[in-house]
Amino acid sequence: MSDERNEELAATPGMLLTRRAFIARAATASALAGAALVYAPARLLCADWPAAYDERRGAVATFFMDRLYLDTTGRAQAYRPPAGARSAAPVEDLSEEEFRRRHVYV
Amino acid sequence: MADFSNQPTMKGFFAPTRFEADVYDCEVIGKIPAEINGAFVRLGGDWLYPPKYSDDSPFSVDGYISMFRFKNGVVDYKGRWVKTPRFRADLAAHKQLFGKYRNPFTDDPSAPKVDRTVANTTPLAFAGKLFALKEDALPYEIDPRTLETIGPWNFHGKYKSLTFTAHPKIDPVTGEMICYGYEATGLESNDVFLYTIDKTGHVTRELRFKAPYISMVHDIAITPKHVLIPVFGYVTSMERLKEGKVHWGWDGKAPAYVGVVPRDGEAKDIRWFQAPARATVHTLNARDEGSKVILEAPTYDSNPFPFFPSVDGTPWDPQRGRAYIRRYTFDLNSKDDGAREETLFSMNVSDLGRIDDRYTSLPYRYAYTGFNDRNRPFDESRAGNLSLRVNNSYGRFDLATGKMNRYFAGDTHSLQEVCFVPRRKNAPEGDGYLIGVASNFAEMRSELVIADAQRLEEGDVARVILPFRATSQVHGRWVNEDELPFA
Repeated sequence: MSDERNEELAATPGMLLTRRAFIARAATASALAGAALVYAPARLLCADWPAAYDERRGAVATFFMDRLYLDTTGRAQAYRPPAGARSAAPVEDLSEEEFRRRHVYV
Repeated sequence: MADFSNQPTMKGFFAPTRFEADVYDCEVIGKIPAEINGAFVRLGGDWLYPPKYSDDSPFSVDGYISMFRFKNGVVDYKGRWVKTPRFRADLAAHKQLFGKYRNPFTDDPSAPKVDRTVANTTPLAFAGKLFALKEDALPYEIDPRTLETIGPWNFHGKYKSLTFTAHPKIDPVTGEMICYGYEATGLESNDVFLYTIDKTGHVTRELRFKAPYISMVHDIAITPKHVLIPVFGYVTSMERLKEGKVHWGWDGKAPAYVGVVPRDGEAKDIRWFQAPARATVHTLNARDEGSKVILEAPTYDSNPFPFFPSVDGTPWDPQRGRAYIRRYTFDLNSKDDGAREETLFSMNVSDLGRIDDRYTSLPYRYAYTGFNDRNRPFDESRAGNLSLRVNNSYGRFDLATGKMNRYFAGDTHSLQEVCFVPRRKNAPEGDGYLIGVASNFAEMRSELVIADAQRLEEGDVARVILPFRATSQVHGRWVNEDELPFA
């Protein structure tokens, strides 16, 4: 079945829900919830709300390496992954002992 | 088949590289000093196959030798496995046949009874030959033109120890090499054989003696009159090996000694001073001052290596697994066998400290080593969070004034062992360059940094860019153009 057909089915209530559609819906829901949490109190508290902020654009959710990034700055910017390879990241959560058991001289 | 998918510590920058390389006319930022010709030879390791046991020591990694060849301002790079009998046996079997560090009882039943060394610790250029050294076997001779492995070398049959240190010392005055083997007559023997080898590669002197107990004797220091032999903390036994444990365990109650051996003396002349309970894995230098013998070394407060666990089950303490530059004074006229200890710098450093090798055994002023400068930034967003574990700087430690100058490699970098290269053969101490390989975690590549040793704060003179990760190094040595028959 083509992706297009999947999308059509997914868009029809009661029909097959594709992974893509599920993620899109989840992201939208998360984004709206997150934006509401930030927007509502901020709107009440901040008298000088940034003039440049376009309320119609709302918040933006981005996925990077299976993690959700939610832009709540009001600038509606997508998350941009860092320019570096982050090649130390796979070992950064190891304890000092676990790390030095395998890597003595880094 | 090589499968590293279950090795959680071998990911990202720390994944094995597993290839041999030639790079001609490397990319350079800056200008290579035209006056230094020769090669920066590095020895370290890369896993051909994953370790057979998850709790094995990283010191079991297969040896890999590499070389940055400097010639008239141009640098070529070459890297090759050290093709030991063990390497060849694993490759033929398509798997890791050999078990834990220096424990043949843990080998696969199908493992052949060959030399178990992986030859992965220190390169040595001596008597016109290039060697790959590891302290559990004889030196492996390497062809300096191709870096291909020739085979073990026993100095024309006169070197009788079964093992050879990774840290022989070359006397800059006589050109002799002072070297030794411990566990010299086999596993779990406390025999130490100490040798003098002349500059043509012939053994001129052998001294056999017993260590106070069987322990790691990784490095020594020499003066014109003495050889200093640290023994500390690590213990082993045949029972331990038969129980399937890694070769060394840490015994915090074991006394630390420094043996002072007259270079022209006999075994009965050795005096074992009891030093403070530190771990002296590497030394900087030593000298004679009247009746005193002085040793300087970056010593650890306690066990530096968690993969050699405490024999009484005490958890490894990372706070005490740090090294500080210290001075030890042994008074040959004293009636007791104690030693005076001074901590020369309050900051902890990499214990891979170096000096200007032309001053080995002689009065000297500067020590060099890496350290973590926490006042410098580390870009976690580009490199990953390794900020507290990297050596982002090299320091020049002035032992006369206590002053330290520093070189910073970059905010996504960690530096491997430093090496001092004299500007000219007759240049004064400290007049030259610091070189070393930096891991760039943001660009996933290695870079050879070259800095003026007298102007470290100014940064690089030049930086050689490799388009890949060079195999991790333990030790590196600068070899002058006239020391080896390079291509």
